Amino acid sequence: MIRRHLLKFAAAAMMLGGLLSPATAEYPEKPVTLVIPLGAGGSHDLNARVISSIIPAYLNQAMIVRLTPGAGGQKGTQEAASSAADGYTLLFTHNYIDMLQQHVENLPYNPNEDFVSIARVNYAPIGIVVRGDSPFKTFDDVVEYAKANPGKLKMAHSGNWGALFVPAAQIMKAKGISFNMIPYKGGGPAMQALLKGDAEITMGFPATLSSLLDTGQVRLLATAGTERMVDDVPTFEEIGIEGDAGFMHRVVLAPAGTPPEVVDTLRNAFKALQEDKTYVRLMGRLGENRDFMDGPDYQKMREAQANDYKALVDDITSN
Amino acid sequence: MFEQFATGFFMAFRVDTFAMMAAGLFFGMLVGSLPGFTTLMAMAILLPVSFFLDPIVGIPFLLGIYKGGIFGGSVPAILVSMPGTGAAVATTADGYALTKKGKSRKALDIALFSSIFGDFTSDILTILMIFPIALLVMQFGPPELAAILFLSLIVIAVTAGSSPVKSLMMMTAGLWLSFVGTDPVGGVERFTFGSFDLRGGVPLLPMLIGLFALPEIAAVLGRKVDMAQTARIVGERLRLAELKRCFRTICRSTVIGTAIGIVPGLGQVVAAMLGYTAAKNASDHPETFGKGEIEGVAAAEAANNAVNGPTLVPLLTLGIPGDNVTAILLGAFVAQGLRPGPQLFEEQGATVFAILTAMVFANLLFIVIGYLSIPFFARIVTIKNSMLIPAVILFAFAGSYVFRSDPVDLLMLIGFGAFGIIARMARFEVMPMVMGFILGGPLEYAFGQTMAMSGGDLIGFAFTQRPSMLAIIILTPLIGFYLWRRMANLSRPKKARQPEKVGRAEEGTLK
Amino acid sequence: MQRRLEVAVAGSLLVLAVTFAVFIDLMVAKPKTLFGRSLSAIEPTSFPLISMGMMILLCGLFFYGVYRRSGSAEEAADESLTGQTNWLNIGAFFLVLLLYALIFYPLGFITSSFIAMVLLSLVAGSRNIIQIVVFSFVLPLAFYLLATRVLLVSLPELSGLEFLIAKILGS
Repeated sequence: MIRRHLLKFAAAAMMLGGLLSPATAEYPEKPVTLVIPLGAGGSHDLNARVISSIIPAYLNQAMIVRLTPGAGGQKGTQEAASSAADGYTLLFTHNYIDMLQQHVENLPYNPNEDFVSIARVNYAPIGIVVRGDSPFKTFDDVVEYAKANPGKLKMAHSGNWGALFVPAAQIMKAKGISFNMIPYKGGGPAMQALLKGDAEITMGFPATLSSLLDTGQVRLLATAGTERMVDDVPTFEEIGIEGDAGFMHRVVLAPAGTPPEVVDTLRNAFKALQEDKTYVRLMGRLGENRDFMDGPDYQKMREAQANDYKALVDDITSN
Repeated sequence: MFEQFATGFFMAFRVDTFAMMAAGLFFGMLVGSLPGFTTLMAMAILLPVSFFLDPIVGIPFLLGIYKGGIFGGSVPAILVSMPGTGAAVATTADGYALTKKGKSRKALDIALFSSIFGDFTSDILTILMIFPIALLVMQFGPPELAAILFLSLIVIAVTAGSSPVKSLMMMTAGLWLSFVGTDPVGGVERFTFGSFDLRGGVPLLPMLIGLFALPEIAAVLGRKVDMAQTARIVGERLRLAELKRCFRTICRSTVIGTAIGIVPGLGQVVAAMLGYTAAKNASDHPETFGKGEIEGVAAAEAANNAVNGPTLVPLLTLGIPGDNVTAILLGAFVAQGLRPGPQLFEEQGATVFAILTAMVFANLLFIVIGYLSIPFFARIVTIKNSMLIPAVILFAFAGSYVFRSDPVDLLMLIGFGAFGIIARMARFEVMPMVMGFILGGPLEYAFGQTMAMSGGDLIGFAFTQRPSMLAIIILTPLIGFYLWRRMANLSRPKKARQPEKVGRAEEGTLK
Repeated sequence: MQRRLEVAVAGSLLVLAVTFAVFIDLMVAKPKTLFGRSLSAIEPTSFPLISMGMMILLCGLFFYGVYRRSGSAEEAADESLTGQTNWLNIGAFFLVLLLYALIFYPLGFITSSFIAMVLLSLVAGSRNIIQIVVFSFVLPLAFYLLATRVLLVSLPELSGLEFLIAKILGS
C-alpha cells in the first residue's frame, strides 16, 4: 500500500521534473474544472451537479464546478477563454451568453474564435404563457392586441438578452409588434409577476410549469420548435416564427487550441454519459430532456446562431 | 386536509429522517462557518445525494443544510468579526463586541437560541397559515418592494450611528459602489473606467471582510500592550435570566422577519437590519447596542432566520422559486416526483406535511447539535494570536477568492480593509455603507421595473393602482424623522443613566 | 486628529461627488434602444446623479455642523485605534497582505498561503520557527483538499502541484 503510494509519488515527481506537457495521451490526470458563468442554484448549476456527480466514471477524474457569475455571464466566459487550452478548464454556458452577447456588448474575448464545442448536453424549449383568465385565447389574439396597442402589452422577462427576452425579441421581429418589456430577476419572479397581474404575458419552460398548467392558472399559447409538445398547443413554426427560436441550448465548450485528442476524450465522455442509467434517471427527474448533440454538429449550429443573432440585433435595436 | 396532516405528522418520525437531518445540520453549520462557502453552495453540492434518498429523508436533509448553514454564518461573524453574508452584518456589531469582552460563548448561545426560536416560530406560522400567506405574497410587486427598500435604507441610516448626517454620507458612498459595473435595469456599463474587472461590479464578500474583519485584526496587531491581554477567555454559557430578558426582542424580531419573508425579494439582510434597529429603538439603553449587547445579537439572528418559513410559500403553493435556495429545493422536490404547485397538497398532502413536520423538528434537533458544538467553536478565540491571525487571513483570502474566482477581488479586500481603518478613525460607521451597497442595486432595479410598469406616468400609476406603495413613500420621511428625534433624545442624557443596569438574576445557566 | 481626518474623508467624498456629477457622461454608457424605445425604463445616469446631489447636500450639512461646533469638545476617540497604536506593525501587516494578493494567483494557493502565513506569524509576534513552518504548511494544504475534494470548488494552483496531489491521492 505504502509502496504503491511511494511509486506514485516518484512517478509524479518525475513528471514534475520532466515538465511533461499536461496534455499527454493519459489526459485527464487531475480534476477538470467546469466554469459556469451563472449563479448558484440556477438550472445550469443543477444540471452541472448531475453531470459532475456521474462523469468521473467516464473521465477517471473528478469534475469541479466553479461558479463565476457577473456582467451577464461575461466574467466566467472571459475566465474560461483566457485559461490554458489543456482541457482542464471547460465552460458550461448557453447559446444566448455564448453567441448573442457579442452583438450587444463589447466583449474582451471573441466567442467565435476562442472556443470549440465539446457537446450540447440538452436544450430547454420555451413556451408563450398567459394567465388562465386572460382574454388572449390564442397567439393571434396577442398579435392583434399588440398591433393595436404598440408597446402596451406588459411582458415579464428574466433580464435583457436572456432566455425569455431573446425569443420575445424574435417574435416581435417576426410579427412586427412591440411589447413593454419588464425585467425580473429570473424566470421564477417573472412567472410570479404574471400570476399576480403585474404582467400580461411571459415565457416559461413547460417542463417546469406542469402543475400550473394542470390547474389552469396559466395557459400555453405556443411552444418552441417544429413538433408539438402539447397536443392542442401550436408550435412556433405554426404561428410563423421560424428557425432556431426559443431554445436554450446548454453547451460545454473548451478553449480553442485544446489538443484534438483531449477534445476527443471529452466528447466521448459526454457521449458515454448519455447511456448512463443514473444520468438518464436524474436528468429525467429534473425534467430536462437528453437531446444530446455532438460537438462538431453543435459547432455548425453555433456558427449559424452567430449570424441569426446578428441579424436580429441589427434589425431591432439602435443606439 | 386534517387527516393528511395527521398522517404526515407521524410519517416524519423515522430514524433515517432524523439521522440525515442531523448530518445535514452539522455539515451545513461547518460549511456556513467558512466565509465565502455559502449554504447555497453546500446545498447545490449535496443535491444529487438527496436524489437517491426517500423524499421524507432527502428533502429534510437539504433543509437541514440550509438551517445549519445560516447559523454557521454567524459563527465567524461573532468570533472574528467576519460576516460571510450580508445577513450576518447585524450580528457582527454586538457579537464581536461580546467576544472582545470574553463572552464569546454567551454570544454564540444567544445566536443559536434566537435563530432557532425565529425559525421554529415562522415555520409553524407558515404551515398553519400557508394559504393566507400565499394570498398575501401576491400583493407585493416591484412598486411595493421599491418603497419598502427605500424606507429600510432611511431607517438604517437614521438609527445606525451617532450622527445621521455621517451615516447618510456613508450610505450614499455605498450606493456609489453599487453603481459600479453593469446597471441593473438596462445592462450598460457604469463607473468601470474601462476596466473589465469592474464590469461585474464590486464583490460583496471582500467588502464585508475588508470593512469588518481587517480593521479588527489591524487593531490587535497595532496594540503596543502585551498580546496576552487580548480576550482569550471563552466565558460562561448563557443564563436563563438573560434569555428571558431577550425574549421580547426575540419575539419582535421574529414577527419582523416573518413579515419581511412574505415580501418577495427583500430577504434576510433587510430582516436582520430592521430587527436590530427595532430592538435598539425599543430599548431604554440604546447606547449599549454595538458595544456587546446580547439583545443585539438576539434581535439580528431571530429576524434573519424568521425569513425562512414564508420564503417557502411561493415554492409550495405555486411551484415558483423566489430565490436560489428555493430553486434548489424545487429541484429536489421535482426529482422526487413531487411537483410543487397548486395540487401538491391534494395529491401528495401526507408527504408534504411529513416534510414540513420534519422541518419543524429540525429546529429542535439543531438546539442539541448546536449547543453541543458551540464549545468547540468558541475555543477558536483561545488560539493565540500568532496562529489565529494567519489562519483568519487564509480563510479571508480563500473566501474572497472563491466567491467569484477573481484574484483582483483580493486587492479590493485589502483596499476595503484600509478604508475600514480610516473610516473607523474618523468615526464614520461602515454599516450604512454596506447596507447602501447591498440594497442600492435592488432598489434601483425595483424602481426601474416600477417605471416600466407605469409606462412613464409614475404618479398616476401610484395613485390609481398602487396605493400601498404611495402610503409607504409618504410615511417614510415621517418615520425617519420620528426615529431620528427619538435616537437623539435617548442618547443625549447619557451620563444620567447606567449603561449596565441590567438585572442579573442568579438562576443558573440553561440546561 | 480625529476631527481633521473626519473633514478629510468628507472633503474627498465631496470632491468625488462633484467630479462624478460633472463627468457623468464619461462614466456611464448610453443604453440601447429596442424598436425605438429605450431598453431601460430609467436612465442609467438618474440614480447616480440623485446620489451625487444627495452627497453634495449632506457634505454641506456636515461642514455646517463642523463649523458650528468647532469650539466644543471632541467625541470620545475609538479605543482600539488611537495615537497609542503601533503603526509600523499595521503597515507590515498590509504589506504582507498585498504580497499575498499579488502572488495568490501566479504561485498558486498552497505556496502563496505558506509564504503569507509564515510572514504573518512573524508580524504577529511568533518566533517558534518549527511551529510556524508546520502550521503554515498543514493548514493551507488541508484547506485546499477540503475545498477541492470535499466542497468541489476550485482554488488556483500550479498545474504541476495539482498533478502531484492527484497522483498521491490516486484517482
